[in-house]
Amino acid sequence: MQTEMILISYWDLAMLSVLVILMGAVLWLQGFSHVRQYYWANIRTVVQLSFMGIWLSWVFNADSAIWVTLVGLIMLLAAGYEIAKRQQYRFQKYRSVLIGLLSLSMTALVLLVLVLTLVVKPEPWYQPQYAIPLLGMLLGNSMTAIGVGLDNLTRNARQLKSKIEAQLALGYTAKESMKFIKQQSLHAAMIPVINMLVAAGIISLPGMMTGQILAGADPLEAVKYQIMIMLLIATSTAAGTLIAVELASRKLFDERQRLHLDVLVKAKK
Amino acid sequence: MSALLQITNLQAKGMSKPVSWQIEAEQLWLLYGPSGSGKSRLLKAVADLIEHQGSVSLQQQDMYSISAPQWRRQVMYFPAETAWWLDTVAEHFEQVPTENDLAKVGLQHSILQQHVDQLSSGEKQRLALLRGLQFQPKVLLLDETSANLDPTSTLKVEALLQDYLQQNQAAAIWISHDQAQRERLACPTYCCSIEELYATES
Repeated sequence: MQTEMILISYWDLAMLSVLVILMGAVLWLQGFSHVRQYYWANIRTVVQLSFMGIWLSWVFNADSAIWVTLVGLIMLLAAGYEIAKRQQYRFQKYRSVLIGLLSLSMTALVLLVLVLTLVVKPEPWYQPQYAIPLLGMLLGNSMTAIGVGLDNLTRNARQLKSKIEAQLALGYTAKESMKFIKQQSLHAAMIPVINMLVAAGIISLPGMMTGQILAGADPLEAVKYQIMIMLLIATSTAAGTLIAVELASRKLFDERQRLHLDVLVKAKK
Repeated sequence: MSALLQITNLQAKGMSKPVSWQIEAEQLWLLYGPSGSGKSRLLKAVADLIEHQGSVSLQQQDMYSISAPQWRRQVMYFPAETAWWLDTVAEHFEQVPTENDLAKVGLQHSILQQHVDQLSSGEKQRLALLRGLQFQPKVLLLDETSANLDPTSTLKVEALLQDYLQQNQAAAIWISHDQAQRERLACPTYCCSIEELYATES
């Protein structure tokens, strides 16, 4: 049942953007103080996606491993930067970015390679048409979960400092003393993922599946892909958050397991 | 006989001068001095909870020769403000204290099932003391441990600590702003102001 996809014109998109501009005005009248960010975010979406479109059609045509790697790397760096940006308290010297990059590459990147070489097996395995959208979905979800988990961890570590230090004074290890905070951070990071998994197929139609169906694919095939993605997201968000939270909580202590909150600096807003 | 706790040229941020101090088993020292003079910082440094220079050894074993958690189990700091990280009192104990243990500090057994938010600061202070003593530390670093207690409870805590030191061959440094308490427990021999410590050359 492969059908031809109906194409959207640039004119259609321009019409839709008028709606956004109007909504911004309404928000402003209601006293919303971030109208400028609202517009800026919309502009960024349009510009970034347009570039992505140009970029991707270029990379798809070139079909070379170097270009796929380069695009993947840019996406990874951007995700690491986004994680750090979402922190109210960041680690000094770009360590938040590093923690983000490390936990992303140990999970999303590894899973991507595994799923391409063992499950989907396109020819060659790094074929951009598969590799890049898959990476994008894994990175996007992991990034959000890791961002929430880290932010929760560092904010709680500051707020609940005396509870950590009380445990250290009693001779509990740094790891034991951070356990109650780590649990909260994992909870905060994983709840949205769990909600997304629960809502899929009943309340929400996941984006990738919708896209494939719109492009004329058989819903049953689209669903199989979507299930694969969901399981990958469930794995990569959980593993990524675990790694990030572990790395971050270690960085809060020195070699004598003393708590050092001065490694955190408040982000300038 | 060698000292139980040997502090040599110990200095941390917030202390105006390095401190040297020898403490023998069964000694109970009462430390006083104005706020901000570095008393708490001194005790935290002894427990290796903050960065510091100088050395501390327990029974001739240097602080850095064992892991920090092991050291802190033996040289234990009891903060002025107690903190509780789980829901009920009992969850904070590895071995739940007996009715007798609790009675010694004037508490009921039912308090163990209470939520920590329901406790008064005086109750928390006594429970925090029991929570630490279950590990049988050799040196107790008590930061205003009876500051929130009524006179009867204060006397009970004092008696408990004196018994503990004797039975365990342990020692304690106790920060107290209560003149009467210092006279009762330690003066004149084992009373000491932080300025005196700073002034003593090692």
